[in-house]
Amino acid sequence: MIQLSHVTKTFRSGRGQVKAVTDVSLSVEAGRFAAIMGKSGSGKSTLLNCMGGLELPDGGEILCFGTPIHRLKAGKLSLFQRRYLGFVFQRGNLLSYLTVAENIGMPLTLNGIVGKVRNQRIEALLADIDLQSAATAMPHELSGGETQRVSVARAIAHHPKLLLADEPTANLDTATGQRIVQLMRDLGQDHGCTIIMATHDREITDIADPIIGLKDGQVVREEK
Amino acid sequence: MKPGDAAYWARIAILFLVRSGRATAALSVMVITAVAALIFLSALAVGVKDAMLRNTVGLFSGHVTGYDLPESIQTEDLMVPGVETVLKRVYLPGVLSGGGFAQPLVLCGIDPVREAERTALKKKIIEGRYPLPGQPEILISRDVSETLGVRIEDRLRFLVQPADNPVEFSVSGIYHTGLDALDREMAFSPLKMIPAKGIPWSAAVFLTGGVTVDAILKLYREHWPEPVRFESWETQMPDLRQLIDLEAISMAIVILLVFGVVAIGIACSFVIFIIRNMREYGIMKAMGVTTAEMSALIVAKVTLMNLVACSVGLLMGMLAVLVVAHTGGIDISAFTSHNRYFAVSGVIAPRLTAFSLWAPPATSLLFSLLAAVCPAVMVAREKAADILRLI
Repeated sequence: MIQLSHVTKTFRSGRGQVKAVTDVSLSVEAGRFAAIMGKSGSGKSTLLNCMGGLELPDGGEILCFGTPIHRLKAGKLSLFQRRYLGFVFQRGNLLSYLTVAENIGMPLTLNGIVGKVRNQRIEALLADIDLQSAATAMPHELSGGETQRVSVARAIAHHPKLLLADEPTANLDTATGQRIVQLMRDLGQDHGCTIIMATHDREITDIADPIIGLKDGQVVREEK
Repeated sequence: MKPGDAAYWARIAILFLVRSGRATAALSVMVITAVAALIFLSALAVGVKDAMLRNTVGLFSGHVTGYDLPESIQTEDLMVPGVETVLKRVYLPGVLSGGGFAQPLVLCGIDPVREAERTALKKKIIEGRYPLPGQPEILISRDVSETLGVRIEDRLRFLVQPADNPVEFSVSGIYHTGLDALDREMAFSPLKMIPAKGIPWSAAVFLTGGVTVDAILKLYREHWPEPVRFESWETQMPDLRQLIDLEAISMAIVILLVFGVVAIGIACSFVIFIIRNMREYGIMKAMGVTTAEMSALIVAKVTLMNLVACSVGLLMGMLAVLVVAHTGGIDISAFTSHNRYFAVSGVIAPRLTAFSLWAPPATSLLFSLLAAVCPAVMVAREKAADILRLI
């Protein structure tokens, strides 16, 4: 279970202090596909980053499967992230100098999954995302949809407990976006993965549960 | 995977360098050029020092001079390992007269054949030739010839003591070195033609390359204690020693400045090279790559690129030095014609030393690694989200 209690995050900028997240408390049960919905600037990405330890909250608590990740030291946080978390970013964010297979393989290697097992898992994931022929392709040779499929495969390759996706369909057409969401859902659920996705895509409401509405950094509604 | 698995990060670094082809190539070219240029410059500095020493020592004095050697010591006795040639000389003070004038000077008895072979005095003859062995001939300086008003084949008389019989010579040649000690108070004639019986002789000792003067001096002094004296060129020519030191200091400052500029250039390029890929470090940080692993990756990238680029730069620098040295060196005679420390030749042959070979690559690697500290600290301190947001 992911539990957030009174989480607050403020940024300093040229325009003064900006409260990105204000006193957010919520919980997502293990195995769920949750959606954080809200307009641009509502604090979705910041909240997601706080959940994954990419950002440190100014206040409040974040328990990720019982681990208070906001209190972890840098080294332990990295080891926690590599073992239990997977990220899908808006732009895919593949490592530009690694091939598709090498990108998918990195979290496996980081988790000590090497050799034949690693290669088999990469092959299976490439088949799942229907990109077997692109194993040796470089990221710049992929389309936007293909990049996101690889990004999803990389995020779940090591069977994380929590998959965090920050508007993974934002730059895609509707059909491709739906395919990516479906892929995340299918692959995530195969491995009992909890998925939390930040999006402003209304289509997601059909499959997400719970749906957490965010406005000006605060939870305005939570639907189950 | 164990955190800090060097082999894995080395492999990732190689993939990064190979697949970032153009950026890697551009930075490599800079490092290669810098290392090669610094090696050549260092070798040139050594070459200038060599040229000054070779010119001054090779003109006449030799690396070591032995004084007050009794006749019981032969030139062969001084031929210890590391010694290339020993020339026997006898210095006889007296008065040289002719043309109605007289000039007090020191007549140096020499072996004309061996002197011509080993010293460069022959090259400084501006008129006539070297004295022939066994002939009553004398080689005088231009200053002496002007003082006495004599020319080639004129007759001169040399008197040691007023009561002695003068020795007659014919002027075989006139020289000009630019060195006061040789131009004003010296003349040369075949050893057998001067009244030098029983007079202690002097030795001009020329060493082979790479042999230190101190080692030979120590050996000689152990074998032949006082009153026999042995002195190095440094003692004999403190002005040259100081000039070489001065030149070394000047070159060191120049090289240091060049090293500094090049090193800062390399460092800045590496910072740009690493920061350009900062987003990738943010992605890896989000994937759970630790700060230590990312630092290892950065260090691996910098080290691997430096190893390859410095090796190529080293080869190119060595090649440039060898090519210049074996094609006659750099002729700066036009700028040294009135410089007594380049009295024989104004050609500089760059020479490689251990310092000139290791210092430029080491500088490049050191400053590149220092340059890597800044992005590594940045990666360590920033949150992954900040890196991804900022870059």
